[in-house]
Amino acid sequence: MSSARLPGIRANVADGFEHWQSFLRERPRLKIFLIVFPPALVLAVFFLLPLVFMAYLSLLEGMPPAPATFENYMRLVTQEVYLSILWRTTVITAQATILTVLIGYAIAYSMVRFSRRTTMILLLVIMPFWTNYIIRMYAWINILQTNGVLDAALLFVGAINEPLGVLYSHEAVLIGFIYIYLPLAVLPFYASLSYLDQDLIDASMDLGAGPIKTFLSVTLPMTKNGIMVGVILVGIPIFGSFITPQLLGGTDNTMVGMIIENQFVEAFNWSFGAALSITVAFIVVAMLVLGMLAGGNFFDLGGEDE
Amino acid sequence: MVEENISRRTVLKTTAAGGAAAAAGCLGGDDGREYVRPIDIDLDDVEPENEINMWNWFYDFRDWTVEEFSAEYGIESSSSTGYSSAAEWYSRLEAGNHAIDHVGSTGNYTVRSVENDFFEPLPVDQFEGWEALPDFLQDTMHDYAGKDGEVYAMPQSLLLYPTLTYNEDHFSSPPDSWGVLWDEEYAGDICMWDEAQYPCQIAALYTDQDPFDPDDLDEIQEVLEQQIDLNETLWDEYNHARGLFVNEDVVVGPLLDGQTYLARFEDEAPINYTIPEEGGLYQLDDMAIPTDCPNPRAATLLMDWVTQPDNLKNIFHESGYPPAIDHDDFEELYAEDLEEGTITEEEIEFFRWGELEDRLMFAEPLGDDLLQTYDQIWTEVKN
Repeated sequence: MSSARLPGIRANVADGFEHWQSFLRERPRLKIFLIVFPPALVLAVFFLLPLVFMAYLSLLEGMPPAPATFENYMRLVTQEVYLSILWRTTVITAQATILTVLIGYAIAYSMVRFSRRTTMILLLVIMPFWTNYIIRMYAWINILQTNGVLDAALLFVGAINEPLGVLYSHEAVLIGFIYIYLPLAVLPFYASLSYLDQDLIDASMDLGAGPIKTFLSVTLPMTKNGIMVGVILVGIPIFGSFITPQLLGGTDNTMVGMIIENQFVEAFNWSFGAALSITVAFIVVAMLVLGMLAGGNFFDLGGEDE
Repeated sequence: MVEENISRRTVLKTTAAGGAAAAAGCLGGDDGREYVRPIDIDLDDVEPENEINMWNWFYDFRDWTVEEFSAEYGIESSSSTGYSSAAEWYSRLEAGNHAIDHVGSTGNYTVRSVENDFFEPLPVDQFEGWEALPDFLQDTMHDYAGKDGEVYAMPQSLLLYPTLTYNEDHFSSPPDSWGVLWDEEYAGDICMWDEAQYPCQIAALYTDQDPFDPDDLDEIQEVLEQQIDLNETLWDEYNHARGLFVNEDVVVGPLLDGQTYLARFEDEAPINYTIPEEGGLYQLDDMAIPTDCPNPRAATLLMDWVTQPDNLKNIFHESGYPPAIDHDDFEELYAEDLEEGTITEEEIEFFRWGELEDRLMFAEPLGDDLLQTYDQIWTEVKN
């Protein structure tokens, strides 16, 4: 192609582009449709449709084609064992989320307020993500087991007289969850705290508030949205977890994710597994709604409320 | 901004490359010839396709098989895939367009795959490995992996599932009863398999019931409720279970003979197994050819090749599990290896069932009703 023809082609492309621009400018609804349709289609095909199929499966006696029934949901709400497991899952999720949020907020706050090497610390925070989830859990088995790394370190410094053997306990499950999901809490907290206007803190101090009062009346309320995002990012995956309690927990740490997995790969009761999954999805949605009613805006990490 | 652009471009490139690779994998690699059912293939007169895709959970044995078989038959493109749960390949077969030529299966997954026509019937009469199987294994395959007189899978490994595994430093002689799992002396040093059917079947054996057709489910639940608090933990993953014994977190509990072997001979832990007087179960891991596999000729030749005793015996060398042959024939099969020192008499003796064979019964896959009843019992016990 000769270089002499290039300006002509460029001019044609520019004309065509302008023509499309004016075409769309005159048809604002079509413009919105073209912008919204592709992501809506992706959400419908990859998120909504599987959920609808899961709901359909949960209303069948077995694998399709099969007669319709509410039996799976009746079993879930009438048998104490499943309600009890759902409650235990909620308690473990709440405990792990609160601890993760507290630790994550403290790390993010110290990074923003006191640290110079924030990039390095952020890198350290997300570094565990480079390693496979299960391998990280096996690493914790080595750390927490009787006479493992933790026991050896505590014995060495004289903090304990005999091995603790934290592994296979409720505490081990909480440690595993905190470790796995801490980065998901730190990142939104860091973003939220970074946006916080330093002038507001200075103004609070100038008006006579001490550091604690300034934190409680300025910093915390201004980063509320970031905290809610962190709670959601941590709480939702913990609620459905099954690997961590399986590998680190004892005999009384059964969570609903483990029961769901059993239905699909061991008991071959996909309909009941689907009913459990849909129930968990409803609980998660309820958590989101409650979060929003509590004043969280998950789509705004900024430090200022609208 | 420049960094952002580079990173976005890199991400797009990576995504495109990943998509192309995935598409290539999904499309399979047949050479344009029509699909032929393995049962219709004459092994003396068949030219394999130029590709083979093998899925098996014995990782090292799988890699060894693909490499050796491809070299022997001049197959240029081969892939091997591992999985931790049979559910991974089963869901692919359900979805269709699976691109799997040869798959390792077991128990309920084999039964369900045969029922749903996910597996092809095999020309077993042409397989050298089939002829070498003892009668009881041929009968078992007909019963459990057969339909309308055809056989749909070839045995791969013959497993004790579960063994009663124990630490020799804590037991002067092998425990003779499953009752050791209920012995308070070992409270906190016991583990239990966290897969509903196994604790329930162990409880059935312990209470002198038929583990495949128990007549008192309440008693099974009752004894499991007595047992659950004696456990240090429950396990659901084999390496985790082996680690429990090797690290001495537990000293007795159900395991597999293969994992017990690895603990004893590779990890050099004082771990051994027994089959209690109440009885125990054995199970087959098997291999099958999925329906509509992309390379049926190569898959059938691979099935014939890998099940020949001289090849199948390498599952022991590569993965530490015993091949599916009569264990009394081990000495003859591994005679050369014994001479070369790649296997020891002690290792062979470890897998030989000997007098324990009288206590064993085949772990026939359970029907849906009993499986779900066991699941309900175990869920309630854990709660």
